[in-house]
Amino acid sequence: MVRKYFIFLLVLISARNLNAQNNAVSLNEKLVYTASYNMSGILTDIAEVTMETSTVTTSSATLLRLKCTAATYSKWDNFFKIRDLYESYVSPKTLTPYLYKRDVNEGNYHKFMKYTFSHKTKTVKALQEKKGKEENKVININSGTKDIVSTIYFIRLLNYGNLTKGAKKSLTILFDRKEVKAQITYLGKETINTAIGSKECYKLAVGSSDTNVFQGSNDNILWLTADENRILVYGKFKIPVGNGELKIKSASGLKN
Amino acid sequence: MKKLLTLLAIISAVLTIVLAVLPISNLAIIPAVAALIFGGIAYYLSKKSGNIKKILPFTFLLITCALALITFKALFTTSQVKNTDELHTKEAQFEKDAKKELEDLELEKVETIKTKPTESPKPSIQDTSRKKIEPKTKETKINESEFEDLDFDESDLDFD
Repeated sequence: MVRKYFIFLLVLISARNLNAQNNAVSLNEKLVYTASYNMSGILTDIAEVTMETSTVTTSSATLLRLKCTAATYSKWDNFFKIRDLYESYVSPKTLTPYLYKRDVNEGNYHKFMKYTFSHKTKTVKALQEKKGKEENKVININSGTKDIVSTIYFIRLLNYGNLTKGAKKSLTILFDRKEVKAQITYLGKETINTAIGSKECYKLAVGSSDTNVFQGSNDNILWLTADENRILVYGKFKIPVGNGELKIKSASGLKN
Repeated sequence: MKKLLTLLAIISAVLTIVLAVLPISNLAIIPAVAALIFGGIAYYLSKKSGNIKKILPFTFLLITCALALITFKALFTTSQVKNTDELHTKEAQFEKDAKKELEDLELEKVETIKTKPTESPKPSIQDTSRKKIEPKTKETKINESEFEDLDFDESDLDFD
């Protein structure tokens, strides 16, 4: 009896490692961030980024809608207005994407992108609209390839508790109709002060597989809360002059 | 030296004013500090030589005005997102379109939440609202003496 129990437990643990299950992302959560520009320690708020989840019901199933919007603060609108919308329709359990849409509206620049995933044939039908031109393309993908939005949410499903400092995890992202290999490096735990209180966080370096993030070039760093929700509370990104920062403003509808 | 410092102070003061007016008014602090340092040194050197040019007090006036504007903006203006109606309309439209597109999609081995209203929930372990159903099959005891009274036709019995 005990032996059977252990075998069951072992199977359960291995299954969890192979295909991360959603124990962190709620069906109706809302995370609001402030994107700022940091130059020599002086912060300037530029835009508000909202990450929202909701359910979408079709005749056969209920999917999770992951929606990200970025909008510049009104003081910037006269200079450079940004109204970006990214959304992904995914499986609520594994966050496998089925449909992805990206609508970029930055100043006079407009671009629309739609990916329709077929995991059976490992292909993606991509539709791009740019400068009034429509372009269709079929892209071959590897299993496990995700769009940028579902990847941002997917990194919350990974188990960082057992990782040692410097441990790496690879992810494949489909961005601008190209598969990009991304690598997440676990940098340890750190407690930081945020707008939603002091939080113990997992510190992660995000970079391309080609760059060695552990050799002093940790340009893009994310802080995820070291709890069951693993929400992104702080992000730091290197830009040509100064740094870009993403700081949490509010969080609601969390799962745990 | 005095001329160079005065020139640097004027350039920094003008840059402070320009940045103070823009949304990046926080960054105007950097040229403001630089203008004060350059202007201060230039003023000290001018006072030493006994020839203070009128441009220096004017530079200080510019910096003071810019600092007042930066302080006002930092204290009394809040960052707000406005004019998002178009974005909200687009969000709603995208969702509506996505529903149609997802209907056409073959959601293979859908590990999503299936919406089956016919499925009755499984009773929990401590659910007392349901009665325990006893098995209807009763154990039937065979009384061997009853067989004695039975009249068999041997041809009906087939022994292999």
